[in-house]
Amino acid sequence: MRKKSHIPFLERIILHFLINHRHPETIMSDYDEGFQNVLKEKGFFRSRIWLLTQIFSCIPPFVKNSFYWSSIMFRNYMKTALRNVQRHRAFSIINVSGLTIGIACFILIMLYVQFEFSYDNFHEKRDRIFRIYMHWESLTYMSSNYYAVTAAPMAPALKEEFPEVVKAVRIKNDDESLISYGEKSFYETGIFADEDFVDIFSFDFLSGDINSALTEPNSIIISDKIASKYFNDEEPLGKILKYNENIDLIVKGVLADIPENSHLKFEYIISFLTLDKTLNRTIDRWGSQSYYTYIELNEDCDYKEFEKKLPGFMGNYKGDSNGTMTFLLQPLYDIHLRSYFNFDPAETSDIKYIYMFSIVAFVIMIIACINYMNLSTAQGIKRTAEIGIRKVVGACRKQLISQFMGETFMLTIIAGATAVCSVYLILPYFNSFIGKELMLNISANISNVIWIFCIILFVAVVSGSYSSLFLSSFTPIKVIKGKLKSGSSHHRFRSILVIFQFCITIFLIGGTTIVYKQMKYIKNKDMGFDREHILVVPVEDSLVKKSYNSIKNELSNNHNIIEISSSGSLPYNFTNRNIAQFEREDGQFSQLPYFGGYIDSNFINLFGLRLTEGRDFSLNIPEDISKGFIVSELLVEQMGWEAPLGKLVRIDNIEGEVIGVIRNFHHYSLHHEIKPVVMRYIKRNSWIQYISVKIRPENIEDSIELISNTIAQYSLNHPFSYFFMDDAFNDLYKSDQKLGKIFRIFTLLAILISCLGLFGLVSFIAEQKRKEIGIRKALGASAAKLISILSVEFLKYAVIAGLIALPAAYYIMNSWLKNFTYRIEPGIEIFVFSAGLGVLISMMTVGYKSIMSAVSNPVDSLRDE
Amino acid sequence: MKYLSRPEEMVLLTIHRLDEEAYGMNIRNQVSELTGKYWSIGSIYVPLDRLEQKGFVQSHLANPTPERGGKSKRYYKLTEAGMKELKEIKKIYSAFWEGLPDLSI
Repeated sequence: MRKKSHIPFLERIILHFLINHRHPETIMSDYDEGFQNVLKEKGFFRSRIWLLTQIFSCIPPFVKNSFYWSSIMFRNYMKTALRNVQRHRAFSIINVSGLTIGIACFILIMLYVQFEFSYDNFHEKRDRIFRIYMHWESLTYMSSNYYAVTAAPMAPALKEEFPEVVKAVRIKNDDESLISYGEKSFYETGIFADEDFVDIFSFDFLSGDINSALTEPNSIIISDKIASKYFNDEEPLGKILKYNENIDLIVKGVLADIPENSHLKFEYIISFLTLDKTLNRTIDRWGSQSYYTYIELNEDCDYKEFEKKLPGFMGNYKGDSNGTMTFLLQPLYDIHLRSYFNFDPAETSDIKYIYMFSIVAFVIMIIACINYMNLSTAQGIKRTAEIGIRKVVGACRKQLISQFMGETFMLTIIAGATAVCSVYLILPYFNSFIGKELMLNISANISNVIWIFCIILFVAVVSGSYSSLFLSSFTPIKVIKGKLKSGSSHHRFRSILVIFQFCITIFLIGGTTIVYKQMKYIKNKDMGFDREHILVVPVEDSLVKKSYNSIKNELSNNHNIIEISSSGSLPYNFTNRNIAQFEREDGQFSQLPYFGGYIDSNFINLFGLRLTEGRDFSLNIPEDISKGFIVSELLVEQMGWEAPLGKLVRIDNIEGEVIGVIRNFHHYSLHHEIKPVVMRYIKRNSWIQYISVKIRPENIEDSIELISNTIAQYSLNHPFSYFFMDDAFNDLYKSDQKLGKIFRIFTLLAILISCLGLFGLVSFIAEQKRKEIGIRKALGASAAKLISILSVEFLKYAVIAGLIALPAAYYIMNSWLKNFTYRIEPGIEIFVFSAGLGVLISMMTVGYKSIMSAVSNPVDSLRDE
Repeated sequence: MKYLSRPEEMVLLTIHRLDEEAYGMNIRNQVSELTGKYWSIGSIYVPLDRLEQKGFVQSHLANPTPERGGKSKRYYKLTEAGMKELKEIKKIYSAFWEGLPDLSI
């Protein structure tokens, strides 16, 4: 009975919380009594109302107590903080700018990481979409035996066989096809895809009927971008586009532009049936692996389980006798960051880089925090008097900690705001630099605001915690008597921080140097062929191919043109792998894989490939043209030929002789090993893929115009496109170079931040030792001695840091270098160099201040006391 | 000397009036009754605390009673200074009222 008459638990808690009194129990018991009285007299309902009014009436004094007084204190804290900022303006600027750079770097890198992770996220069914890929045990191509491609019948068969497979689509890449509408024609890149494409993927459909767009042959869906290019303001639906000059395609739909973060990149989709019905490609062969297969699985189907069913299924269908091909599933969201397959449809990134950048971002921020810690503790020692007085008049440690944390927080907020503004300004340059389209959209994306705020909070907590704990720990009596010396434990901690900072800086310098050296090595490595002043025209137009001989004659007459050649590949893309029979020394034949290409009689000369034995293809010798082979030295070596010339080679039912041997060259990027190469004469003009022209370095513009005009004569409204051999070659290392560039920039920033901190620290120490230096100087110390007093400690730190950082740099950079088959060996000199650079930079930072204080007149520092 | 605020004066007077029975709830009821206004429990404690701080009242805990859920009351008592202060207040007010006509007329 009595129990019931008590104030209910929840209300009791609330009251307890609201009452601010030395004896809360007393008041609570008053409430109990009042409650009981009301309950007795007026009943349950009224007693509750009474209780509520009591609670509400407690709120105003509570608010006053908890906020008003603390806001008064807060105003005081603000005032002291601002005074401090003003008094030590240089320090504050160094502090804030260090933090700003740190936070800005972090935001930039995080935006990049966020973007990389956002790949293919816009597909509604992203969790249920999988790509089939292939592991071909026995076939290694480009140092991987995983392939992103599968056979064309795969998709329909899977859909038929398994109920789990809801939809399946085959995609075939279609590079550089000529699409024309009336007078306008451009080369475009697109895909062929089954009708399920639109169901599986969620690309935005702007107009047209999404369901019927790909069901018939000769239908095409185009992106908004090319729709406006071809049709301007006309309605594109129902219009006829000419495909490669002979096929009519009806525009059945328009897609919004393909998002930047889609791994599939295309401007048009042609219905898959077109391949079958109109282009008459055979698409029922299990043996030809050149299609991408994507499937959508049932919601409740575990893909790992499903994967296990694939081998059995393959056995049924294909009668895969040797069984060396295994088919596996890859989730859609893994494609961008976690595939290392051959023939991936788009340029993929690597999760390792993402981790690396995240680490760099984090490290830069930590450097900025350390700066702040060091500077604020160093500078805080000057405020011991303030701290002492505060303590004497009754501040408890908690209050002091919150004061210093608050100051840190204020500065960090300023730094954060500056950082966000500068990110806005930098972003366009950063984007063009890394070739992505990152956006910092604060108004639209609340999660961005939250994580940026979290970063600021994190920075504030990390950088403010040490100084506030340290400064608030002073005993007032010692402080006011002026007995405070920076304790040795504090000193040790600060040296650890400085060493850590040096470590990171030296590590980054080392890493950057290695990346830079490797890039330079690649650029200058003798690839075995020339790439200077060679202009390449990729040829799609059959008319141009047919009239190659006339073009060649016409161009050869010009004195700006040194040589001209036609070929099926360029020296850096001999990527067609085949197997042929080669005659051994004992007269038997053995099989060997090789990379092959078609060239003409000018090719070897033009690209400066060197014949070591035999002869080039000669137009006068018919056998050369029909069945002559030029092989690379590596093939000779692998076959163990002593006299390679005249050895028989059987390729595709043709038996011919080796007529020449060329020196090995890098027929693909330096990521890959050199393999045997076989070159054959380009018998038919229709095999021509590239026309390469070696031009004189003078008058390049004229030469380009000449070539363009000449080819245009033979071409029907095909646009003229060309590239320079060295540019295309550099493209092979685009992602490596990008990595190097980004690494360089952030290293620079990290160095800048730590220099700022170092500078601040050394100027603080110099100021503290002003009197000491003055006295020493008055007593006759030399300037050199004085400089060493200030800088020898930092030199020591730098050396220790070097000893720690360099082995780490060596280890980590070596694992990056392993990506390259041809790489530099990071020798001791790189490490000596980076350690030296690190020490030099820090000594320069420290040196300025130490010299300034060493040469200053002792009178200035000693006259006032 | 510093004057007390009206609520402080009222509470001081009430404690004097309640004598032995002066504890939070009682004081509040009395004040409410006399002023004819609503006083929350919490609002009584503000002047009470101040009076205690200024040394005009003293408090002590009594033995726990069952009707208060086993908790003890905190009784308040005037101190010497409190007594003096009350006299002072009375003196001042009567001096001010001296010779003035009765307002109710």
